[in-house]
Amino acid sequence: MAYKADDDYDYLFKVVLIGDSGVGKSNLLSRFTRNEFSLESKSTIGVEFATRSIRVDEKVVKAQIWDTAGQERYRAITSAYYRGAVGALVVYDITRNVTFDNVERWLKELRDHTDSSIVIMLVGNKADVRHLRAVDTEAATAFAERENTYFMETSALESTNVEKAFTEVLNQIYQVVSRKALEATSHSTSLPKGQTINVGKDDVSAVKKAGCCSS
Amino acid sequence: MSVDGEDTRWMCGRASMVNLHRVGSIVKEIGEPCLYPSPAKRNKMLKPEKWHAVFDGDGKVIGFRKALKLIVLGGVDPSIRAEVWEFLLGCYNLGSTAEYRRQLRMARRERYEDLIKQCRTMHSSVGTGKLAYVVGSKVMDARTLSKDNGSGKAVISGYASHDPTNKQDAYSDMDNDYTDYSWQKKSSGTSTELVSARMSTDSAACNFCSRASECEINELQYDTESYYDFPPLPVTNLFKRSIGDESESKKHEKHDDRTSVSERTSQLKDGHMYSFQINNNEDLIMESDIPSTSNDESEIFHSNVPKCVEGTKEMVSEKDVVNGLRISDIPEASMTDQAPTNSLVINENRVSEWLWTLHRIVVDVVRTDNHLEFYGDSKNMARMSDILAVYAWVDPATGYCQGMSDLLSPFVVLYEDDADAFWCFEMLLRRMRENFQMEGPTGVMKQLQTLWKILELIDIEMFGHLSVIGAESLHFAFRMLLVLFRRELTFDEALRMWEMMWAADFDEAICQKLEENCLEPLVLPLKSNLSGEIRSNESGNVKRKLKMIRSGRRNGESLAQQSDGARPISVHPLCGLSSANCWIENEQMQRHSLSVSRNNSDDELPVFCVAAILIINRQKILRETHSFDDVIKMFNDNMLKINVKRCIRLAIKLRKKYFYKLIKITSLGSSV
Repeated sequence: MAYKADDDYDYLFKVVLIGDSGVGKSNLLSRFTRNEFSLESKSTIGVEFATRSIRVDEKVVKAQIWDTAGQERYRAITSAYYRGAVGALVVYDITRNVTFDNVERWLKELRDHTDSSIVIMLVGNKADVRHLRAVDTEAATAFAERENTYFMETSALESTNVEKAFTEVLNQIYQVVSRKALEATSHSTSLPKGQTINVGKDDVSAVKKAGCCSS
Repeated sequence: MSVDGEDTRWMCGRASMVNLHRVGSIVKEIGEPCLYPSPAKRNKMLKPEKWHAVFDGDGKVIGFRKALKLIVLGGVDPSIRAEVWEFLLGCYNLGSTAEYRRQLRMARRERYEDLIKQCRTMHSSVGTGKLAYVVGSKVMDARTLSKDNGSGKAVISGYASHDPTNKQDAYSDMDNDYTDYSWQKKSSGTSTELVSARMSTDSAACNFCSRASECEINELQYDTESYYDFPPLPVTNLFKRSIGDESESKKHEKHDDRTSVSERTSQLKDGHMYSFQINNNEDLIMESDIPSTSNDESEIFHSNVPKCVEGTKEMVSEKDVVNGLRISDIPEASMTDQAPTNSLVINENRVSEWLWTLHRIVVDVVRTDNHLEFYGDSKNMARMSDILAVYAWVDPATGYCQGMSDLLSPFVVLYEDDADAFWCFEMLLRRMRENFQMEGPTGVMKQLQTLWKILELIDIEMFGHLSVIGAESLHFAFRMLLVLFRRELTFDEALRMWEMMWAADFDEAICQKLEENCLEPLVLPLKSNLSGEIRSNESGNVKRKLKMIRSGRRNGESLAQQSDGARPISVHPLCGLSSANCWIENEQMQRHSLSVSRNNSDDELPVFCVAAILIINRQKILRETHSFDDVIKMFNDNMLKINVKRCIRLAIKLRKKYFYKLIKITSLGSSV
């Protein structure tokens, strides 16, 4: 359905945020769209979304980001919102292994419900909680490579990499769209997946730096 | 469809009132205890004086209908809210005496404490005023580094250090009608002495001992460092083997062991020592089923946390104390091993499932109503967590589901005693369980379908608009229905909304049905003399009420209707109401035939409240939403006006209107 908002944009991209409950999806969303972080945020019931427009290549890209409840038994409802998504952030909590383990299931579900050309980024959130890290950056990187997704570690609380993660996903979607490759189903599309991150500028190192919490 | 011009554009105007009057008598049959309020009564609410006047000399409720009317008009005075809610939710039969209720409450508290103890054997944090997992303002349920774990405090010393007198005190509290009983409260003191006393009363959880010792050494340290959980979950026996444990296992195994369904017997699984462990990695739950040959074998804790070895001598005396307190006079079960092995296996799975659930619970508890000062106190968060944990344990088919904590929170605030809060919560969930079960929120989805039908009949323009913009799923109303407007209203507003909805929907027949849905572990046995008392009360009741019926009370007063062919009490579990109420059969039939869908959830007020909110905000919605996304946004961001009283008033009117139309349509189809 067309989104007839007053504001002007060239592209509207629907992006979904998925992952186990409590990994910080809602705070990633609020950090990106409103630059807010709340320690008091409540669990998400059902689905919510927020929007933000960014500029990519002289074009205004409006991101409509859907935030879903993380608990398993709500998936019947929340998966309805995958429809039409061209990007996804699959979020886990770097302090909880189980949320990382479940990423595989989230990916499967995502791929079951969306077009294969969807741009997916694996996001390890709560990177600020360094002393409680349970998921190695290396393991996650390897996993992302295996799964052919982008990867980034973020901290919604410290605002680390949040902007970067979203804009990277939007950028990649834009690349796909502008190459009119969105409909392509072949895995051999020129979509540069598989690298830890491939922003094309100086972001590879930046990401790596942010990703490891030794600093 | 009888959608004429007047009906299509629904307003709160007089035109529709005329309709309502016309169908007044029909609508009453649908089972609405309260007619719409007259505008003159707008500022009314149920005040303490009026509330106290509804009881007769024995404490039976005789004028509940009047009270309901007042509640529907404006809610309940906060000073009596806790008391009134128990009746609204069906925790008590209206015909029960004050004495009976007191005893029932005692029995419930005792049962709850039993359940807490059971849960504590699976995770030592339950019932201690601490959360199972560390949750900081920054860190949600973070795992520990547990630097202290290596130190391995000897548990024995902790156990030995407990003060027997404190233990006695704790029990004497229980003995004392439980009126002053609240371990939670006790534990809220910062005194480590109290903490250790409470802990020592737990005959089974020896991990407790370890914690007690830690507490005594340094409570703060315990809080912030050594018990950073997920780590080593102390391994405990699920099934007590020692004599002292019996007091716990009695309730405990009841619902797994079908042989002792309604009796408060204990089935000790002596033959096996069940143990489980979660090691440092939360993701790893290991279970083992270790045959045990000795009753006083120590419980073994696998973990990096202090090893805990516990003797059982002290427990023997505890057992005696506990037994003396039991309301049930059913003989103690023998302590032989009667448990079939497969039930153990089932239980292992249950325990590991429950432990996962506990983790999810904590993740949500720390972010439930945390804007309230009340929950700034972590002990109150722990209360919420405990209740959810107990619920998940007794109702494994539901477990814990997001949204439940929103529903529970008001009860935790309202009731000082966790057991009371638990029972109200549980009564509420009996009505809403379908929303939270594993298959997903099917209950809410049904309600949304009903909402769609309602809109079609009462506001065709809105119906059309939502169709055009592709919002037929009505998912935007999902949250409202799932957590009953908790997210859209302030805390106080939501409480008012709840009580007004419950009062408008109050129907003792439904409470009766709900009673039959009692979860098995919550079925309470009755002391023989108590049930006798009830029985005689009931027959008195029945006579009086029959008289009332004969003298021509209208049948909207469903509360008073009873037949003298009352069901034998003995077959009825006592889990909320007594079996005092039985419905005159043909009357019930009548109700069913008249109410088009009384048995579905079609007529529940919350759905009509959503419809009312849509209609109150209809101009805004019609004007400002151009896509389904817009509606979602409008609802999620709370951009709608929701005045509780107005919403309830309108919802009640809409319900009448809807059923009137439904009946009209139905009667067009059939000859009557």
